[in-house]
Amino acid sequence: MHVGMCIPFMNHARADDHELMKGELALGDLAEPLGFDSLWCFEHHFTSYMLSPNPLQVLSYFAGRTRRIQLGTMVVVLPWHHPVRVAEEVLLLDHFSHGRTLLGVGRGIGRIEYERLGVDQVESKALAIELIRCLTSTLESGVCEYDGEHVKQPKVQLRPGPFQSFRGRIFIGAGSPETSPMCAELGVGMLVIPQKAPEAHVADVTAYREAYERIGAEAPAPIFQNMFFVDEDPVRAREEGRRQFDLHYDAIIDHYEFRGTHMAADKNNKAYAAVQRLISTPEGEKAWKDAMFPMNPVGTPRQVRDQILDQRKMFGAGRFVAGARYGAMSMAEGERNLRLFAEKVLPALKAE
Amino acid sequence: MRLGYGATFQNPGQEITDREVYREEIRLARLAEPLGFDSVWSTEHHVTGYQMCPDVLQFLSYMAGTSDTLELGSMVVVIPWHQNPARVAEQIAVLDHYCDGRLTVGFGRGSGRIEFEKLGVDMGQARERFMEATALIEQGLERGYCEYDGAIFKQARMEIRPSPFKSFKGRLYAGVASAGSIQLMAKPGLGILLIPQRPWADIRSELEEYRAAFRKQHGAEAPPPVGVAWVFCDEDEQRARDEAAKWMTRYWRGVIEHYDFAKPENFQGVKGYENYVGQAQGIKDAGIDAIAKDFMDVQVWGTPKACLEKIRYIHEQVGCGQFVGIFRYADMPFAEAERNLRTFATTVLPELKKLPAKA
Repeated sequence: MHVGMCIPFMNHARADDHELMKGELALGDLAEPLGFDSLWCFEHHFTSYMLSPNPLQVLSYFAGRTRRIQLGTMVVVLPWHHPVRVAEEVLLLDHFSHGRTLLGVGRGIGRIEYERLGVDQVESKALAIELIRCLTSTLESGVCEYDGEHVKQPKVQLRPGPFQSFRGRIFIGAGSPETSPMCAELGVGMLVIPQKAPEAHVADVTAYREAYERIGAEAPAPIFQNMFFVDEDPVRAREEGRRQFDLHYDAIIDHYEFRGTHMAADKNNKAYAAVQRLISTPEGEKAWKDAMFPMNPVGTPRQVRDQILDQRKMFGAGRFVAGARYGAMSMAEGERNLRLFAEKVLPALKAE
Repeated sequence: MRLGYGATFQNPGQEITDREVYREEIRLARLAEPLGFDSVWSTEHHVTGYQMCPDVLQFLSYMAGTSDTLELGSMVVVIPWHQNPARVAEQIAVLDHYCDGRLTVGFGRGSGRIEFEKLGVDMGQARERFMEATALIEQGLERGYCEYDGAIFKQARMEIRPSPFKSFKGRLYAGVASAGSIQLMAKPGLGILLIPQRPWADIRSELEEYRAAFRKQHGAEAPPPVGVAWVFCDEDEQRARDEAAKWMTRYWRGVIEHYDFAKPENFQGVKGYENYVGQAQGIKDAGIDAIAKDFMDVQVWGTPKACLEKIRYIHEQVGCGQFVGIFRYADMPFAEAERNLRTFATTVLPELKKLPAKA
């Protein structure tokens, strides 16, 4: 199995930003020597959640210091980008990396990001769909042109143009059974990025496969991602792992304002409105964290391996992306976690 | 004096593919530091083969990944083409973290009509957009958040994360080409990036006024200018002259075509580009070949000795703290560009490094 790693640049512990950046970049430098197949970055703005406003830019940095690994976004939040500029940036990364780009795209749900970037969140779903259509066709032809409800782009030839097809290299971070069928229509893959209980993700993947079946094609195996905590000591793994993930979930709650009520008014975000209702009480918050926790492999190397393989089976996934440092974790703990994973878990996964 | 290498990513004639241009431009840019250059620079351009670097901060991020000591510069980010200057502030902040503060950012106003059109920006607003956007970014980088209420750009308070960790004072520049625009950069406190299209001696007096205005406004010396020029260096004097004429003429012809510089009507009535009308008429009347000769007179070409003398002269005229050379332009074959670069690096560069940072 292809195994990648991701660096989210999370700073929930409010460390100095420069120190955090240098630490995460140093972890990213380990991807190739430790034997991972790819390195992935996210897009988030304005808060301590993830200091990663432009995944195509940070991956260009890594294109300059790696030779072999693929470089993936999970995801570029398309409604926050101009259709011409984002296509130009993807093409540049592909030139810098000599064709090692993997492109995950998505819609994003952070209100703070939509507001401060001046993008209307109410129309985010329709906008994202048009932008995904526009981008997938632009990356094949090198010509950006779209006449939609929300996106109107007169024909423009991009330079440098594409030099190899993006077929098989584009993925949608689909987070609901309503959106995942769109992958089939566009002929692209699917990313499973943990945001709910495993069974709910399975429903998205099922809808994805069924959509491919309806058009008589085989669905590309999804890519699934998660953060893990591994320790030789099962007690420390369980206790420290849960503590780290509780902090990680707090970071998610803060950034997405899950302690508020604003999602209720948004037609696109019914599922998240339910999360907001749930975590409005301390018991509900704990219940939500308990439901999220099974998505994250925690335990001894053997336990972590087994959990990842179970998830792989559950999603019928072909590739896996592991995150070693997240939430409020220290760099030292993140590096320990990563190195132990690379030594004791990665070889078994790669042999699959 | 510090030395920079400028990458242009030109593919006007499409004699080779964009892919080959990229592969080779990247290879040469990565050679710069081992050959003794301090920095690598590039320029934002879109949608044609004139220059193919649509996101210069992204290219510099790639270069930041290749070295822990290389300095980086944009010459320029064409800021009016960006719909959201705060996003550019984010990109700058992130890149500065990658390269531990070794970044200089040059901003420009742009004059390619095709680029304004294709990016959906009104060219008549370019000057205003430039002034507002650079102010928004400069304030944002110093304060750690962007907040601006201009005629064009309105930005509600927006944190820059990762936060800038080092002041950008003295590291923000403006690329200027046209007469009369140097002084305008004193008030916003921008350094001057000289991308010359007219005699260096003419620029000298404008720079004096700029320096005085800068001192008055900010109570400090202006940062030393950065001088940029096109270079053709060859041990053989005749060959240097012939080949320089060939490639610089082709380059300049490409510039005239890309910007429609020989069509006065192209700039007629466009606010902020009034003096382009007369210039264009001049180019139209004189003919491209004559104009190309004027262009060549400003650039650096000849034997290593002649190149050295020319750059010493530039240094003396404008007091630049850094010189950025462009070694590959028009459809120059990469083998020739590499020879040009290597000859310069082994013969001229070591002497230039001995020059003081200020004349």
